Amino acid sequence: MDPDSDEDRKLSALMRRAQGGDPLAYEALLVEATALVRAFVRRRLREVDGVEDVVQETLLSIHRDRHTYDPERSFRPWMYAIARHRLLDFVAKRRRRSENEVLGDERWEDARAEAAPEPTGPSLFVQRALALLSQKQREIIRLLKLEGWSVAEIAAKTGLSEGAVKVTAHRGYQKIRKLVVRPAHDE
Amino acid sequence: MTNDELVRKLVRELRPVRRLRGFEWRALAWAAVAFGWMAFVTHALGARPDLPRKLGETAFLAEGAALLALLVASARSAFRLSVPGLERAGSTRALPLLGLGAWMLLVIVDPSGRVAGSASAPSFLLPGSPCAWKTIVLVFAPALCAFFMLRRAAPLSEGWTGLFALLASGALAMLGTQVVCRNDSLRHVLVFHVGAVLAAAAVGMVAGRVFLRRRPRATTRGA
Repeated sequence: MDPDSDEDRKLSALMRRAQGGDPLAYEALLVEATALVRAFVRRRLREVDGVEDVVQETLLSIHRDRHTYDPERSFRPWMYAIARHRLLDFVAKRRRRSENEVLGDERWEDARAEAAPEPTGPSLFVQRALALLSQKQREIIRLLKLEGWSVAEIAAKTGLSEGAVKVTAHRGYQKIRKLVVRPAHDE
Repeated sequence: MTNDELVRKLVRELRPVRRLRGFEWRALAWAAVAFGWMAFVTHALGARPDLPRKLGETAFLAEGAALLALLVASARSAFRLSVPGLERAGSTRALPLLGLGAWMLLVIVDPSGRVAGSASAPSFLLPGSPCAWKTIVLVFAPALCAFFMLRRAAPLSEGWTGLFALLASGALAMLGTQVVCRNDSLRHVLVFHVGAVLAAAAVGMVAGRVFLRRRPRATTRGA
């Protein structure tokens, strides 16, 4: 007997019960689906940081669209179709973000070139902001913004892909922005 | 939010759901509504006076059959694309496009011996040409109904789904237009019949991306 089809029948039965409102079956299904989707995404996405994001987006879509599953059909093609599209959305979003970031970096460089004498080292504010980040984010932002390395050079130095370097830097900027902006909102 | 927390949250939110019917059934239900609308509008507008004679012409019937095939293939594809896991079959996209090509070929090759523009034909470029309004009226309700039904499902290729939904609605409108429009000149048919269906398909692709897009709520991982 084909273990794959046995597994599929099991998932299909769990989803049938979940559609009827059985929470135990649903929990078992989602746990199994998490592992399957994670393996599916890992095979297709180089960026480790993004895998769990896609897994969670897929789980949310499975939850929202569970009424579209027909228990007479295989479960896995249904689930993987959702996962594939959430993955494509993620990649498209990341590409747009990278493009914006490159533009942002160019503006930064322009502004820096126009600025009066270069500071000899990071200001106290910058040092404090960098201290809020993880070591990886801090190192990448320091090389990018303070030492003027290119994304390609950082990727070669750290062994990360260029996309991962951009994403790490972007998350660092977001973290700084959140931490810096929050007190103003709280007032 | 970790995966475990998300799973627990989704399990807490679980409610029984009414399972969506098969795509063939939903396509049939849509077709029933759409044909009802077409019958109502064509009855209200009045059939062309020479309809009994036209019904005896092979070219007229062949064009009708091509439109019907286009309608069936497009509606089937739109509803099929709205179910995850069924969208990958090549025929889902190919069949309606082949149907569209066959109908356009039939119009252009013109087996009925249509002329480029007959003297009695109304000026086809007048703004507010009656045929354009008839087409819009015929397309509108079936397209709205299709979008409403498709949103109940989970279209993943929203653009294609919208395109096929409007292609099906456009083909239905052209079946109705065949009955009410007495202008057989080739220019008119190309602009107001073929052009209308192509425009509907383009609108459908854009509308699909806008109105059929359903994104899950943003996750708060890492927060």
